Amino acid sequence: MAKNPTQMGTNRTGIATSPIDSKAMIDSAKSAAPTSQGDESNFANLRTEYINRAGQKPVGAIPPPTSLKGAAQAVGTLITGKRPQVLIDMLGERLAFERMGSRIYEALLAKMNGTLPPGRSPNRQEVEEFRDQEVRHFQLLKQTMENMGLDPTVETPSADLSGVESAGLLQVLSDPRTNIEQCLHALLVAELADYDGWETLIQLTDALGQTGLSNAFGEALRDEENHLRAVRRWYADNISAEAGVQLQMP
Amino acid sequence: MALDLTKEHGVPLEKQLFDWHDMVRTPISKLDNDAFTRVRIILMNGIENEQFVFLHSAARQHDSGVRVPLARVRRVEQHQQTLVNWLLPADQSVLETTLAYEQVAVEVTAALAEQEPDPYVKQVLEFGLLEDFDHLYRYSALIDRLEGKDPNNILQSYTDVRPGRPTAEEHRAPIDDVRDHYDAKTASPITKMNVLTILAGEQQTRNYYATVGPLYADPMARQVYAEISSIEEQHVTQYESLADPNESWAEKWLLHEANEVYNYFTCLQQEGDARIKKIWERFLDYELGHLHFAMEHFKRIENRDPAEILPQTLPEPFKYTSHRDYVTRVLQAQVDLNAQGTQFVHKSQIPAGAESVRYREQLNSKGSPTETVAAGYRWTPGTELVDRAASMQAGHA
Repeated sequence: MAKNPTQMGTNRTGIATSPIDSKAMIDSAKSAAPTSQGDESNFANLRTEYINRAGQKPVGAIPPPTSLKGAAQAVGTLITGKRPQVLIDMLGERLAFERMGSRIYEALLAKMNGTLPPGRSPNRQEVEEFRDQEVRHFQLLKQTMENMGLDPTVETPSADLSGVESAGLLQVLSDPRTNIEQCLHALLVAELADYDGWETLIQLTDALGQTGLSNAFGEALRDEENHLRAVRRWYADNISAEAGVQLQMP
Repeated sequence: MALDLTKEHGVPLEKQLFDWHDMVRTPISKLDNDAFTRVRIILMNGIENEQFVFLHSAARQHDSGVRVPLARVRRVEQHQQTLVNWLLPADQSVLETTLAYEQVAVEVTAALAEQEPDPYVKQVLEFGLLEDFDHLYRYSALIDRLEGKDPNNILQSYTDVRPGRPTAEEHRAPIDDVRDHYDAKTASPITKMNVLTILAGEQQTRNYYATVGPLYADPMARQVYAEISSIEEQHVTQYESLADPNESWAEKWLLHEANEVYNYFTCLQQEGDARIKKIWERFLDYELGHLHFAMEHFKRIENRDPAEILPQTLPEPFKYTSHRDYVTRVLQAQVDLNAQGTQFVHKSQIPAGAESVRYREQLNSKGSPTETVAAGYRWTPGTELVDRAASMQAGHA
């Protein structure tokens, strides 16, 4: 078995831990009337009020290209009625995600040290290769942005939000108490989003007439397809080994 | 078993050593540990924090050769606080930790009130108890409706989730939050310990809410933290005003150290987790060392015997246990009280134009977040979606 396997023991979070106390608590809650009328819709109304609030600002802005060449490309797209800022935002998001992806694989490598039973996937070399591919994807996006006259060090709004989305994944992977299958589940969430991120970016660059970009990005998409397939397999292998069954992932 | 302060010297300050591995330990399990281990960790973080704040304030206002000695004690307190607070695990969300803070407020306030011999101080504690009890209900509604989680995963059936004195009614003008203070010459040691303990707990709660409120994206959560944080500031005002301002600062230093000894001793007596128990034991010895260090300085500064201030033995530990019945009795008898100056009266006796009434009408003029978040909310095991799912199922049947 792997280190920190899922095991039976004293988990005190459920009401069955203490039937007498739980009954008293349930009776007490039932006997007390709420102090305000309504339901969750009051909560939703407040959210809506803030969403529609005068002066409500977006998370952030997309900076314009910093070079004449980039500006010319952007203006050219604007003339045709398309909005290049969506592409800039998404390039920033992909760059941030790939950079974080390599750190996620590093966290996985640390987790594998001493916790992975012999013969169990993933293979260290494969994980290192995936980590390096994430770094290469980061480099591809950095160069792409520079060629377009964009500043690759900018954190675009979608880049920022991908960090918010992924914060929980990093918490799972970097927690010393989590086991290998728990970490692979977090990694699977990351790779699912990663794969779809590239697919969307390629469609977007195609639609904006940037076919040169979509060719370069196609190779990254193939890598990500491979990552996703492998992570699904690693996850299924580990769950199978821990549960004593044989799962087949898609 | 009471602790004899004259016989127990603990570990001397120069032998109170740490390293980073020692300070950053494996945290407790959110899922498996008893809720009262978490309660103790949170309260002791608050006790250490109060000490830190007090010693800094003292160092800024007094010289008399104590600035370096105070810095030495503070440095150890800093590392003690780190070791204790870092025992909380990372899978405990900010809102789950918030529920645990309110469980501390309810169970510890009730425990202190239950043992408090001074009727006025007891009344103040019971008054504050019903307010924190209500906060637990409001945050429970928030975690259910924001995160889809059951607050009882944290509370472990020890503490009830139902309205107390409604938070919307707790907003008072400062004139109605400052209380009469005990008389240092006649107050019993346990009263002084109780006041310091509750003050430490409430102060860290205010600081925590003021720090974590902006971590939320949701405007409902941001508003709820804003509202409850404001009440916690009132509670800090209330509880600090109970201590006699005529106590000298060196006297207060002795009391602070004695209270740390008392609290670590109280934890040690009741801890069920052997690993955590060792920490309480070690820090009890450290605090005894601090107390004797402070006693030596007290003799020099005030030319008085610390025995004039401290009892020979510390009071019996308060009880880390569920106070369901006690809280229910206080709730039934006192939920309609509110403060008028330093006294407590039935809310119907407070005139419509009173300063506190005008104050809360202004704050609540566009609605009270704690009323909005808990509209129609009743705690149900497994979250209120259990009821919704059942009615959907019945609809299909």
